[in-house]
Amino acid sequence: MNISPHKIVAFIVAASLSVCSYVAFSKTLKSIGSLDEDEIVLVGRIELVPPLEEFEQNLKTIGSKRYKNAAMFVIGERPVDVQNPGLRDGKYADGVKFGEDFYLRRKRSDTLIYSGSIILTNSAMVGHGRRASVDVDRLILPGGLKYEVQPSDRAIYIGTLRYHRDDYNAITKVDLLDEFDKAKKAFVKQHGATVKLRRVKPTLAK
Amino acid sequence: MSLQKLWVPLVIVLLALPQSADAKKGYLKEKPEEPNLSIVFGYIDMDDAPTNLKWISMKRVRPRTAKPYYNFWVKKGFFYRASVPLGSYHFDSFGGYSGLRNADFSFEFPSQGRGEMDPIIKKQGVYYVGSYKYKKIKTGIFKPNQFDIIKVDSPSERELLTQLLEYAKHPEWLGLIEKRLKELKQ
Repeated sequence: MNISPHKIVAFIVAASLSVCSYVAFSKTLKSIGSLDEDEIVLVGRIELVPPLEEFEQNLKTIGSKRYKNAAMFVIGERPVDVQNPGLRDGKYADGVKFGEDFYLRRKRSDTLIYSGSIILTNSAMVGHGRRASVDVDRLILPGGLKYEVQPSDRAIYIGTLRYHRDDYNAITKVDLLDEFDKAKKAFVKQHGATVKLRRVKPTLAK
Repeated sequence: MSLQKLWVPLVIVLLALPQSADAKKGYLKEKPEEPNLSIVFGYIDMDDAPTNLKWISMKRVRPRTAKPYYNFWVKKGFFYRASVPLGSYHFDSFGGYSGLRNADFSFEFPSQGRGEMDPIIKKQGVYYVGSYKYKKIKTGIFKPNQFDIIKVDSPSERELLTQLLEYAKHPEWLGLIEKRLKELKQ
């Protein structure tokens, strides 16, 4: 799951911004009662080692501050090219805070593919007047995991993804941790025991 | 040989360099302010680029700091600066201004992974990061432009060091450059 340091990261700023602006934290489940019949909730966590430091994210544009110490977690019924996301890929991305359990709503699907996560490290206006533009930079956390969903599932636990990075922000290792018991306890505390949380082990997506 | 890939935004403006280290500290005329400071230099041939080289920026990635950016003195593709502390560095971006197009251009290096130019400075010295040539990659009409910089043999480290001697007025910097030149002759 390593990213080549020499991989081309050519992308159109406008497209990237559109995806970023489309990503919302509002898709996080607030109460289990609000979960629609055709939805399931994904429970998990994402971690970065070493964690982001304050000055590693320069978020100056309107709305970008919500991505502080957060990643855009990209998961859905089809894979997404997180290096070069399309305008229609925003619906597969949710903002999740590092080091916190997330509860993400998703349309039910037989399989869910985790394509990776995007960290917004820079979002700042440059230039003035008609020549102004937005300078954007991102770090990519690689994905490529597939989760099988059963028809009876309403809530699935997808694990803790712990990314290790080097000084140059290359991802050197990814741990997939099973912290089901802890996550279930927190889930029941927040959402009650009416919905059963099931642990799903991923396989590598082809 | 691996190539360093670059990208350029559609709308390009001169990148403001926030939180940059004081440019004057990179001056070779002044006495080093502290021990174990180094010189970093290199060259980019911009003949095939839409602009000449006006600036290049390097970011310190270890130890991490709130003011990680280092600017360089630039002259006809040759870039250098002094007073670089021990640490690991990543070349972040470079650019220039095109009078013909009346536009500022900014090219950014990939933000993840160690690039070919990126120096790790473990002891005081003079660090040559290489000589490169800007090269455009054809991508088609509707795709964003892509660029490489490819490593070239000329100008050599020795040639650039000789140029550097012209700017090194303080004996401490001069001594470091002369020492490196002696090493190259051996």
